Amino acid sequence: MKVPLSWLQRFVDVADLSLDELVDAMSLHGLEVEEVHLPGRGTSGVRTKRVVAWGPHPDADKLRVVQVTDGTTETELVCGAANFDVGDVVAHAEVGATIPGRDEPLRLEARELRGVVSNGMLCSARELQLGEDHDGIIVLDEDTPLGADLAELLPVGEPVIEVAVLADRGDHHSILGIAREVAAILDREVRGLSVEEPPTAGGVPVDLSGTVRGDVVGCSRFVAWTVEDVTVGPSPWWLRQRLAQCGVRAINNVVDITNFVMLETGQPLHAFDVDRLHGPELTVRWADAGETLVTLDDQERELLDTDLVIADADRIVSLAGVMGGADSEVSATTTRVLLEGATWDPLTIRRTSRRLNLVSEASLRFERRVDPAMAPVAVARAAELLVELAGGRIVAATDAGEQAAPPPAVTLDAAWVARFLGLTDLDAGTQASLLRREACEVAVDGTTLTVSPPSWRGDLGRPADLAEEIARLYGYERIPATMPAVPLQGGLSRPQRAERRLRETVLAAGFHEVRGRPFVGDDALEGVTPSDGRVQLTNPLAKDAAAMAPTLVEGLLQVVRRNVGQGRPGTAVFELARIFRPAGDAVEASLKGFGDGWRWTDPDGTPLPTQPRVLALAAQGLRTGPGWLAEGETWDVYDLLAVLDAVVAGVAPADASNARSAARLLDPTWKLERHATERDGFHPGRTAALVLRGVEVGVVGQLHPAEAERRDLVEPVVVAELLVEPLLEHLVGEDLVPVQAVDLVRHPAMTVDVALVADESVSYAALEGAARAGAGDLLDELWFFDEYRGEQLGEGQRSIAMRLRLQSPDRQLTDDDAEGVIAAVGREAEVIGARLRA
Amino acid sequence: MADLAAVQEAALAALREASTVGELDEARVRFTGKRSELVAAQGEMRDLSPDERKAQGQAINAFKRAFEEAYETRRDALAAAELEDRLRGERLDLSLPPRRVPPGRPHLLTQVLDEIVDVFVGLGYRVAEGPEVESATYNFDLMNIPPDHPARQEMDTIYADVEGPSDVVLRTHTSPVQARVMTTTAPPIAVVVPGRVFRADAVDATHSPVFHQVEGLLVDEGVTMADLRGTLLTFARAMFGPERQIRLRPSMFPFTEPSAEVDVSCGFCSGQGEACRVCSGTGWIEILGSGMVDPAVLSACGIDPDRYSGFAFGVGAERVAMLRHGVTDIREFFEGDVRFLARF
Repeated sequence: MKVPLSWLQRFVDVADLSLDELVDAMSLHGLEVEEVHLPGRGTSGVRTKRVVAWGPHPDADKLRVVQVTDGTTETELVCGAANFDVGDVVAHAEVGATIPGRDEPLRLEARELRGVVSNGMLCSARELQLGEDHDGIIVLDEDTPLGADLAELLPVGEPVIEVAVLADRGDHHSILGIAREVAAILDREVRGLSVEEPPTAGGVPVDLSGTVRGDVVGCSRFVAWTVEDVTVGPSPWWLRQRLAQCGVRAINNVVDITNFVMLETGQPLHAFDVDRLHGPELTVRWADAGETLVTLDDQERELLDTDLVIADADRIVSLAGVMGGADSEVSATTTRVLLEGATWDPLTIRRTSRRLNLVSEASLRFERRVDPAMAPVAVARAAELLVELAGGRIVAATDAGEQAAPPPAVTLDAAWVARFLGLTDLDAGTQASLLRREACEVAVDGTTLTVSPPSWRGDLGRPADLAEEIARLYGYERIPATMPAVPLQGGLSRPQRAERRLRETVLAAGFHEVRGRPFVGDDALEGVTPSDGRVQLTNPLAKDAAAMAPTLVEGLLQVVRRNVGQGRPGTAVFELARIFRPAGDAVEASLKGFGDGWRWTDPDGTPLPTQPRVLALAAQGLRTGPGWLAEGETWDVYDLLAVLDAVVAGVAPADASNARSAARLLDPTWKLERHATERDGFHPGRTAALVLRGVEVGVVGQLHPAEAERRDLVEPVVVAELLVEPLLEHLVGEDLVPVQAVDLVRHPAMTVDVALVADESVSYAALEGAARAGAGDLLDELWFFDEYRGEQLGEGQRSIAMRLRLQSPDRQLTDDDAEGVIAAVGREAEVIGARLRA
Repeated sequence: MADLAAVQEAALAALREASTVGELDEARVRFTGKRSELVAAQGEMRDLSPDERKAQGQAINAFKRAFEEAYETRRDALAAAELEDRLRGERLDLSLPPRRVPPGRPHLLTQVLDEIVDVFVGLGYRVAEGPEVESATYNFDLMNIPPDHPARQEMDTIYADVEGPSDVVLRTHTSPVQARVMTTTAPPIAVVVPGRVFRADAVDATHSPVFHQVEGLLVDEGVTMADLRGTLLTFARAMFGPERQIRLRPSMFPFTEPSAEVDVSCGFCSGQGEACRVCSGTGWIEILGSGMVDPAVLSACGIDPDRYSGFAFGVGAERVAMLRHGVTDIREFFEGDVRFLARF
């Protein structure tokens, strides 16, 4: 709501406050000032002149040479407009005057235009920031005094305070409403509107009987005055300026008056041309489904039986509270006007407005509740202005229905208010006087207040609402700062701590954290646990953001692409976020064994889309650090596996049963197994599904060369995605067994190297298993250190070398022990089709 | 009988001439090993007369002493020289960059979110979580935003195409987690909720369809608006500095009554006036929305509003990050440019 300062001043005296003081008082007590506009600031030396003569420019078709006078002195200038004639009063920016510029005011000088010296210019409304009109220059009212400074006549440079109206304060959509609030804040009087009594002659008969449906009273009151002998024409400049300051376009005096009164009182009005109504009676009713109306904006609207309409004898003439009909609107030839002001049901107006996507100044106000006492006042005010500005004559009035009941009284415990606000000194009397400033009637009985809000405050229905009024007017700044006396035991839960550790683990490996927008288009790469399931959006922001991301891999690849585009030799990034799959998606099979913290439901138990957290990694190109790159050393899938193993090791339970090894051993069932797999877009020989405790929880792989090329990425590109819910869920609730210390073995250790030769198809995991089995209880630690292929091994064979550290808790080991272990490893190897390398 | 004196001279010469520890040890074997003349001389001792044996014994001992001494000296010198050579050869230019990939950086928003959360964890709050694709019942209805409430439209909701008993939305705020907590937990309740939220906003420098909030909720008997002010003052000082003040301005949120926007005093300009890019000279920066939990929200979530009261607040993480770190384009948070990621 835009509030010109002088208009506000009409209703409440704020002349003693500076603009800053006023704005501060408003902002701190419930009127949020969005901006203070100063339209026309910088204007000086613009004077009113009469056009004495004009003629065409001798050397330019579109220019006129004009003589103007202030009554004594004539001035010649050149003008490009054509909307004026001899005798018109115009706004002349003289030589030396300034007009508002985009940044700085512009100073006018005498300037030669094609051989004729122009001494200043004639201004348009837009040039002086007095409105949008730029079709021609300002032509002022006929009786405007000559030689006057325009700033004396029009609000040039006047502050216009724009207030952001809060959703529950429909009464603030008016100058009067803002003035009431300012008066309450400053504890001052409101200078209300006084209007004439309605004429005794009865006007147009109106039938409201059909608007009550169940609990809904569609129209509680309908006021309509008939004004005759109206001359439709342009409004006087002061009125056009008021509308312009508030951002409303001037149309003609009749429409402008209804808009002016709406801005002033908050009561939307509509003006019908009486001669275009098929009378005499008007009926307010619900539309029949399928009825249509062409509204003022020349759109044909198809109506439902939930829309309220005003109909004459033959047809619908207005979409109630939203917009009037086109064929009963006031035109240049109108002489008889029916001014209508009514009280409509807010919810009905809101629904109609929303359904038709038709928001008007009227619907905006009605849907936020208009003061039910205002219709007769506003109609009378508009009728008076029609008399004053359009030569009208008030002839008759209709007032149908009755004013809606005022908001019910609320009983308030002043002691509770004081406690609730932490303002223990705020007694009942003070609270009552604060509420009275908001025009509430308040009866005080001890600490009990009985509060009757005024007709325009439908939002005050509960003690908490009144507590806010009291706090607001008393001043939020006077509320002290205390800390809650609440016994609390807070902190991060175990899974939350683990999630932070997990992030640290990935960071330590050199990956930067990314946060993406979780939307994908149709052609996203699959990540963990593939499925076609997508959570589609009803109103996506873009075609390539039509669904929620079923994987983070796609987003990370786009990040990698962006960095490749920046000429980086290598990029390593990760994201820890949710992925989204429809309820019942294949991914749930991977989650079911791990608690149900990932499962979210509607209050009635209906599952929402499945949205587990995943960790996704992507690395491309060379390893780099600050100031160096490792030529030829590229990121590979093992780098990602190392990170994922570390992540699992960081959160998986320790092997509490292992009482012998000093090393922290994981529960052996918490090892991330890798099963070779093939996926679209991935390298067929470098992709593995990740399996934890028997279920697939992730994928790791290198992008297929063709896929990398399609995405314009420099190879290699490796990605991984891992469900982290299984890692975190096991930390919930159950009492974890603390890891127990063991006695460190003091006997010397012995180191034995073994090399096992086998067909390529035998996995390392199997070979390591054989070595571990062979070493048995003597094994303390095992390290893989070499993979070898060569002619002497034979085609398709490879050798894997491992170093075993052997130790016994009760004796020193001998060469016999070493030989025994090697022999045993040999036997275990044979079981899986491998042999000791000679 | 060997001429020990000549042998000794030859032996000492050999030691002197040895240029490596290896050659030195060869000389040692040659002159004192099993097949050396020295050992032969020792073997011949028993054939000598007592006098000769004594003299020869002394000569042999003298030979051994002289040899050992010369050997030790020479060996120390050679070993020292070899070590010196090795050390010289192993010299490194330690100003070269170490070729290890250094740790990555946590996202700026992660840092800000964790910092905010940790302030409240320090005050005794727990951290609550909820889904991002959320039931409209939690996101709106239980937050006192019925279907026709203007706030429901003003929130520019993105809807998921999911059949169900109520609409499914991308949560427009972290407040639905308030409802999830209150419907499942009895007071006292003190939680913070960091999380990602969504609005149907086109992407530009100041708008993002995705952003992050931290919601706070405290409910118990006798919680007052002064407690809200004290808590937010503590938070503002922890985040922005011990000298900061806060200012509460009346506002309106459907889920709180009274409601307040909260400004923190500007620490970027120290009141230097209109030139301040952060506060534009007002001296105050809007940082969060807050209020006393609306009784309708408490009731809807099964908590008796006559017995309990509480406060709630919501902080925008991007806003805090932009203010503190001078980020001017909100898109940077979500584009993943490593130059941005690695800077913070």
